[in-house]
Amino acid sequence: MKNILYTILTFILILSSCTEPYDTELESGFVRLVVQGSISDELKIHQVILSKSADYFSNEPAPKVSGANISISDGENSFNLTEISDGIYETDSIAGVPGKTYTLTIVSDGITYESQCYMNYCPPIDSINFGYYDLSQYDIVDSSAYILLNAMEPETPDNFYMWNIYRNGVLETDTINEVYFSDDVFINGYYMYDAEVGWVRNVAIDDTITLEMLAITEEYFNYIYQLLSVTDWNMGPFGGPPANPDGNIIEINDNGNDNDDPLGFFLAYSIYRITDTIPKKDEWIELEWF
Amino acid sequence: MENQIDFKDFADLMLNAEYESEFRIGDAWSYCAEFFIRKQQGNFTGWISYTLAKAERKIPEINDGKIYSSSYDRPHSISIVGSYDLGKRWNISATWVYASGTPVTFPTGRYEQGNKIIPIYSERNGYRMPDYHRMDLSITLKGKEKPNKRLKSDLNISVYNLYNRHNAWMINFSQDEDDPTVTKADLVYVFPIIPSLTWNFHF
Repeated sequence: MKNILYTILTFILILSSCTEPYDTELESGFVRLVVQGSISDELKIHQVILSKSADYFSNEPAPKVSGANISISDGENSFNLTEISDGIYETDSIAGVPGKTYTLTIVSDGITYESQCYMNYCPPIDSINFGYYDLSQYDIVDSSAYILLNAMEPETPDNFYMWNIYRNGVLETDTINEVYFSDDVFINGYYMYDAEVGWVRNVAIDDTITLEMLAITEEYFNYIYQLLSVTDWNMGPFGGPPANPDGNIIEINDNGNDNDDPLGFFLAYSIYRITDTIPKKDEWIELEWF
Repeated sequence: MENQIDFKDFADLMLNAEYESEFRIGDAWSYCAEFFIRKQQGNFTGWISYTLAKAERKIPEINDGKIYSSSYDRPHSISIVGSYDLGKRWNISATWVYASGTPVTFPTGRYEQGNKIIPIYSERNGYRMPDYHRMDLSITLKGKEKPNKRLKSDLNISVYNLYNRHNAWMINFSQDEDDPTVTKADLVYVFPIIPSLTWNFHF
């Protein structure tokens, strides 16, 4: 019977978490080569960009790497790249062929790095439509257009896609977190009927929209997923322990030591592109949440 | 200890029905020594305790199979408690606790990819959170003792986290939204100084 009336009066404070800048010293990490390059089945100039990793609090653009020898080979032909500006290397106007495996070879500071990537086949896009969600009951005027894809997904399993969107010739999906990407687990061999593959904010009627569909590899799909896991999708204490994304570039002749391999990815992809203009709103398709 | 578990790299923990697939299994070791002194008689009572500990893990699929500190490894823990009776009715007591920060994985470098800054992380649990310490103070005034009085009460004023230490709950590393070339670290703390007043009744 003791202590039934225990606390009569307490000061009740509203507990809120507070944030302040945290000043810490982090070790200087080992400086690694960073590669960002691709080749596609389009007849055009293809780019490989070389840079270096930096300390976490370096707070300046990544230092570029000049003076490297870079070539891309499909097993029969080899294409050399020329450095057009600091760290940016370009091919002549060439086109890759789906079904071939491309090998990127980089020689920088006397060390040879290599990467291989298979070029998948990209199915053609039949048409695109534009969709909207009706948010008027929440008093929200939504002027975004959702891009709806109509295309046949091939019956072969393990296809992976990503979609880029241009509005009036300007790339809208210019950072990796804005790009829609998907595997074909749920759509394998089916017709993709008005499938949502991206959206554009504040569109106007008669804007020109170009949708690019890229057939990518499983390794690149996993790589994007891992990049987003440590950036935009990072859930802090509610997520798993952080880790470093696995690129596909290796240093050869280092006896299998992974810790000094370059970061980044060399991607071979095939592409299909379609362009349409935004029609009047009554021709848009109303989308349902479920 | 055998068959110890930890999360694999890129473990997916939110709304995951197959949670067990995110674990990897390996061995763990832990060592510990504890010291404790207590004074129980007189106006001044209290104790001091100190714990020295080490906890490690080795899991083939994590940290390249190398030994790393487990997430709850606290090398030093100190706890000091003192209580002093000032006459018959007043009592003052204080506590101070200290614990080393637990291991965490921090980024040591960064690189750019797809127009984003990507952190390069240290080995698993290669860094430690800031050390945790805090002092609490409590003053109690007992009600007057009278014979035949059934209802007794005492009044207590206490202060949690007396010197308002901002103990880290988590540390966020992020890319600055206004200036994308800047990466920064922010500390999040939960409990600042919290005073409280309590009136206790015994019957």
